[in-house]
Amino acid sequence: MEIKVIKNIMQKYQDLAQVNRSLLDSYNIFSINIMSSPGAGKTTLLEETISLLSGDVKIAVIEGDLMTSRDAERIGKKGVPVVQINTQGGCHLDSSMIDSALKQFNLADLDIVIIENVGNLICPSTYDLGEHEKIVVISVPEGDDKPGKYPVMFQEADLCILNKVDLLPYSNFNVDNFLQDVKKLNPDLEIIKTSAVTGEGMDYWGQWLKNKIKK
Amino acid sequence: MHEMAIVDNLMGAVREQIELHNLKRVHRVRIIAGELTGVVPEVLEFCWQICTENTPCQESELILISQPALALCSQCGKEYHFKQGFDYSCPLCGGGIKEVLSGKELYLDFIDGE
Repeated sequence: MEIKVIKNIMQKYQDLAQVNRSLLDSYNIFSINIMSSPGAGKTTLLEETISLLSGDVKIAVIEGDLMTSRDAERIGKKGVPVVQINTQGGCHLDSSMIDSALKQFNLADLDIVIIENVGNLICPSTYDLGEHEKIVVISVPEGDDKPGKYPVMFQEADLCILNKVDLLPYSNFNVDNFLQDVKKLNPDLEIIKTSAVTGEGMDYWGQWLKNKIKK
Repeated sequence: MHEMAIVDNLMGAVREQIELHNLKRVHRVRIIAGELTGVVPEVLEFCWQICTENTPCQESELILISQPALALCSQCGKEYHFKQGFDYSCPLCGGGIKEVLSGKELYLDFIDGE
């Protein structure tokens, strides 16, 4: 007996992502999902972002890592609420993990929830967590060929941060080639160049976030 | 390696059908996977074999149908097939992707059992 089904296999996660988004909306919270390779500088960028916005904006962070709570400890030192999710080897966060993490915050007291995904340019791009915008961080030492190699990530992103630009003089990273490749995949994708070390671009990035706040 | 998560969810969807139609044995399961879902067929097959052991799906055939990644060109508005390994631009005018039309779908198409 042949049974026609036509059922989205990942429907459960998509439904839960919508639940998360509605929950965040009901508290007027703006949420971003930051994705990158391991070592692109997500956590350092976050530390500096929190320093930059502290006082003005109430931020909470969800840290996704395979193992350890090292990143959560670093973010916790900045004085913001943080929940560590350990995926125990899993290569991405999914909406059910975010659902659990959100329950641990006092949402009424927040403006922004930042989700730092597991370092991986592949799987996280296909999972909707219930965030409002997806941000891909790419760092200069990784090379300018990444958009072509990981097209879905750049295609799905709402914003791209080119990080560690202070290293450009020491690298063969060709910014024009990079921008050209990104444009083919996502013509309207905004790119912000930053260095969390020298502070370049950080004010612009901070303002970008502030402009998104719904309160 | 997100194939295990996919197979886990696929098993859930198949189990629903097994209960609904009171199936004792499943022979074939067909899924449609877009080219952009990053599914590696060999890995999916491997996960399927492991997850179906001692279930009504044991030794069943998992058929994977790939759906092409189609995009709408940002310049000429024509539909084109973009694939990993190429430069993703429109073969007719060199424009970029305005909108992805297909390639992200992942669904259980049909099951065959008794």
